[in-house]
Amino acid sequence: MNNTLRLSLSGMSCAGCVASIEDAINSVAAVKSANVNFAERTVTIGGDVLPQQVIAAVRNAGYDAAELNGLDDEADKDQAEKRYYFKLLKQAGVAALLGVPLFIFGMAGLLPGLEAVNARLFWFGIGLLTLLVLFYSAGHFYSGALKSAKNHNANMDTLIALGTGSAWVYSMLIVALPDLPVMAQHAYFEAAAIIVALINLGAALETRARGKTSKAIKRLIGLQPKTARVIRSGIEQDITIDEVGFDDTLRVRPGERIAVDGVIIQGHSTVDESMLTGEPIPIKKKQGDTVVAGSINKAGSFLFQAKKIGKDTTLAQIIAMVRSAQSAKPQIGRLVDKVSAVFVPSVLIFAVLTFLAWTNFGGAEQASTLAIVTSMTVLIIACPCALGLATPISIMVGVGKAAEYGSLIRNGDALQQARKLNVIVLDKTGTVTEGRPSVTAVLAAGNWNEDTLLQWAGSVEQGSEHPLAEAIVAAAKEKHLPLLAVEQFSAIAGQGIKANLAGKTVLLGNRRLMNDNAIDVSSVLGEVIKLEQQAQTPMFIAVDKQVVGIISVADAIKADSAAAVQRMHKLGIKVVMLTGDNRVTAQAVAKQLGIDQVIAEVLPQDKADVIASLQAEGNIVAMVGDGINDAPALALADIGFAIGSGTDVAIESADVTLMRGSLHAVVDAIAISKVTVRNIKQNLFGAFIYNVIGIPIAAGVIFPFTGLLLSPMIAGAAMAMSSFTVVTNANRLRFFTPQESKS
Amino acid sequence: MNTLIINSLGFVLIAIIIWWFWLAPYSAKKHRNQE
Repeated sequence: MNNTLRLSLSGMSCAGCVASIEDAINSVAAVKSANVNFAERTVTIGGDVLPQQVIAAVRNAGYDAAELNGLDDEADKDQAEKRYYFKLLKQAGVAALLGVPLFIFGMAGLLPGLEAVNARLFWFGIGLLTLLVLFYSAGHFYSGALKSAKNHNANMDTLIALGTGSAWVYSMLIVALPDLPVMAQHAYFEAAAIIVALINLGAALETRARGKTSKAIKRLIGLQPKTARVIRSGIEQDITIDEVGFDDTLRVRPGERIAVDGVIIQGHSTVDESMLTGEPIPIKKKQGDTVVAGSINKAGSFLFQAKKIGKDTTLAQIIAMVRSAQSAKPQIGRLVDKVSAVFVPSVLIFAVLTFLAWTNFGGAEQASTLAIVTSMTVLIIACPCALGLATPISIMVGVGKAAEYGSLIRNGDALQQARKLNVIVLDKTGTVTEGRPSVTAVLAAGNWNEDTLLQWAGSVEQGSEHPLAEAIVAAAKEKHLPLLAVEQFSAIAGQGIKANLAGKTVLLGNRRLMNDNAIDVSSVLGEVIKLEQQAQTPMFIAVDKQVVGIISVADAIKADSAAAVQRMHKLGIKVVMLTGDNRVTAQAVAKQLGIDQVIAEVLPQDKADVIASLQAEGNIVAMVGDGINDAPALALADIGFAIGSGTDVAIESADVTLMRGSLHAVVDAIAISKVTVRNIKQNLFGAFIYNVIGIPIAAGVIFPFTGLLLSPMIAGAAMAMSSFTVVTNANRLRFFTPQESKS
Repeated sequence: MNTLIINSLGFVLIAIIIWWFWLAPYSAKKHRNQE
């Protein structure tokens, strides 16, 4: 069995750490996959592996990890993040307390030069004070840099440590050895302190903004009640949720949240499931109906039996799904991870080259000043964090947003494909329609009467699980017609049913079934065509090769299907309906909805072929379906949308699971995917442009023309702001509302 | 003379960076994969 393990990570300063931690974990035997979520500071590990082994590997690599189990651990993680935020603020404050006065007095010309002995003593004191401040406020950068260097890695810590460290060492050298001929006579203590203050401040702001991005998951976790009222041996008592056992009887009072998944055994009520499905109207529940954890009981009170507890409840599974989706990396993200891993060493080399270039070509007088200032500024301004954060932070917010609208995006690549989508294939039954067909007409032929016809039809259909069969059985039961015993029942996929009843061969199904068995249907054909044109599905019944009547079944079209199809058209997407139903009925449905193309009378096993042929025409195809027979098509499509009320197989095969039945959810998911990918691109573009422009300017390329040099302090401020900007841009996604909800 | 020393040191530093951050981990990974 493939287990998954979740750890919270600490000591991660930058995107470069993602690769080193993943490498370290992957080197542990039995680890099948390791996926670090940089934005959430967690790692999800697949494989049969002991947590201790993985934690040891992470520690070896210079980071720390702790196992995340339940909701309490999540709360601990939140607390830890909060403490980290205040610590960063304190560190920034202490560094600013030294750096800002030094900077202001220096600008005002109130500080002594380095010529007099007394002045040098003063600067020596300042140097020691700076060392203390760096030790307190930047200690984590130095230890982080050292740890990762030991592991052949370089990250943001490396850059900050080298940048501020070289500023301090250089300044101390000129204070201690005033006769050094090549050195410029200026100390950079204030620069080191202010850079550290700004970077800590930036990290604090980023931590805080990052906390907001996981609001969606926190909202889901918040739906889980902590206690439940259980009845054991006739005694009612409140117990914690962990103590609820399988088959326990639980009481739910009005206004309470349901604790676990189960089946109502007594009483009835209406239940608000909107927080899980996005479906706004409370649903009536009676004895025998299922209830899910996290939903709210409205008016009535009822007893139910626990059927799914702990990690198995629908809510727990949704949380797990959203979480894994939030850690998903689309192709673009994987590429960025690779770039981030080589980014820092490249910047180190660039800084050395900058130093050498100014030493050689900077002119006799200012070469050393230019060399030291520019190389230091290059180290400080380069920011791999913005690059590394760009993708995961937007995905976290985007996937969370989609979950809010009842769409669980399970595959990161699906996000990227959504914007290229130009064909949506809709399964008819249960997707476009309610999926709860009912018998609308029973027409008997020859000397048969309608009740006998329905009785026979119900009898042969009682062994079938097809929705049309269930409708016929329900109609027979409603008329209190006793169902008869049948023999040799066999279902013919895409056609109907064959069975023996009272010694006679009964065939019940569509025209294809009749044609294949060479049965003449001309006597009822006129009626059949009329029904088909009304978007109904008529079925023939033949007894011993003679047509004895037709039963027509209609499946109501979902009220909002037409509006959703219209929204798809607005996005420039062609809508295709795929169904096993007959062509006339399918076309009648399509006409009502404004669907562009109908592919009817498709056998279940051929649905995937239809998707393949659409793809072969160069289309990017999405499939929306719910049944087991849709699974291959869902898996093959560029994006598979499974209707959540559908079968587990369909959900497993799909990229996106829709928690509500409405087709609007499909359009919402597409809209959210589009804005998410756009957001990722904005972030990546911003981060890329920032580095591409910032690094050369820091290296002094504009100095020969303008005489302007970027101050290392400005570089520190820019660096601090770049990550914060990326996180803030991603947070904008939280305010996105898909079109339907706006109107 | 000073410039010459600085240049030499600079290129040695670049060589060390390339070796430490690329060549060494790459050969270690290759070695691990062979095992």
